[in-house]
Amino acid sequence: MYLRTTFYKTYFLSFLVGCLLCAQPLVAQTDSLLQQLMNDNKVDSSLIQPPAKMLFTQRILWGTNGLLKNRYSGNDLVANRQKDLKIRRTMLKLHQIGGFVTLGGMVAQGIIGSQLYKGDYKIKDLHENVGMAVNLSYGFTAINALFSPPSAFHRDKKITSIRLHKWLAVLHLSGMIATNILATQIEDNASLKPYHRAAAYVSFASLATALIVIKF
Amino acid sequence: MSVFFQAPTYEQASSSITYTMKHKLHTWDGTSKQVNVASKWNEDKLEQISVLAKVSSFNSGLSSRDSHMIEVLDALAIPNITFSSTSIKYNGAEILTTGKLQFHGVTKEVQFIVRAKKENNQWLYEGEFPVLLESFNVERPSLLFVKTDNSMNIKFSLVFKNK
Repeated sequence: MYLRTTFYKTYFLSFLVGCLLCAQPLVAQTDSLLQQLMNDNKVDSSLIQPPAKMLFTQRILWGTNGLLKNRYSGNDLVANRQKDLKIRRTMLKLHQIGGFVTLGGMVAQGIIGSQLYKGDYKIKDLHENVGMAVNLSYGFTAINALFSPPSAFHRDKKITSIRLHKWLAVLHLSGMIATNILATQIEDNASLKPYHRAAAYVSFASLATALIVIKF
Repeated sequence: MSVFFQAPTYEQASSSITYTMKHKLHTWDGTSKQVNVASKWNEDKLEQISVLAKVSSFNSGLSSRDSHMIEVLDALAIPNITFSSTSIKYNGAEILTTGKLQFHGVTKEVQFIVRAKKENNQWLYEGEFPVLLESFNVERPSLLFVKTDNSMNIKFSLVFKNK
């Protein structure tokens, strides 16, 4: 009885050790399969350098010969590019906030402006002050987009929502410039009022559209 | 193993891995067609497999979105997503596969069903499984201050050709 128990114990332990010994080579073989793939893939070198194509405003600051070319100490290219992309993310978040604030300001301006056009000239100063605030928030929004570090790559070949978003910027920037220039001319030439309003509406509509296309 | 058996060759050009992510505003896919595979065969049965794909190889059709994924997945420091099988069990046309998924520097065991199809001279292995971003320490990307869903679906299609 004692011998039988000892035999079964020995057999069971041998079986367990055998299983462990068989499992190790299997795991090692799978790891060695992965090692075959890993040898040339330690760092993705295509991501370390910024893309060749970037806006001239980005190149002024972040390009190879840009104003911020010696922005970090040390030669760790990976860490430097990581910092750039973090800055980019922060600036694009500020760009989104600025966009919403500007759009809200334009709506307020539309309401105040329509009252002004109906003959309530008491709110002329309010209209001018809100206009100044909208200009400032618009400028802040634009700066955060135009001067942010470049993205990891540019490879879009067709029309995308971001491309439309950027093309609409041409329209709302033109509208903002026209609205402001016409605003300064209205006191001397009241016949310019409809054009000032039209330019403001174009600015608002194109800015709102630029926000909506991001959805797609 | 037959003396004359030659393991099938992996066809990278016909293979792909696709992820699907959801946001309140829209759902999108990103596909990599640069999937590297190392495999071990026993006759015409796949015995072990390791898969590697670079984060930067996934293309969702919008480079700014792909660039955002690079930042979120810290792809500069952790450029690869890998899978190594630890167990492959056959049950007819279905294969229960278990293995280690390394994503964003975190390794977790995953298990999923692979469907094997033989078409002409080719073996097609397809399957899918969900990945919870936060369980791999991934900060969910956001658009207009709304975050994406935590669950991301991974779908793969690997093609091997008999010699």
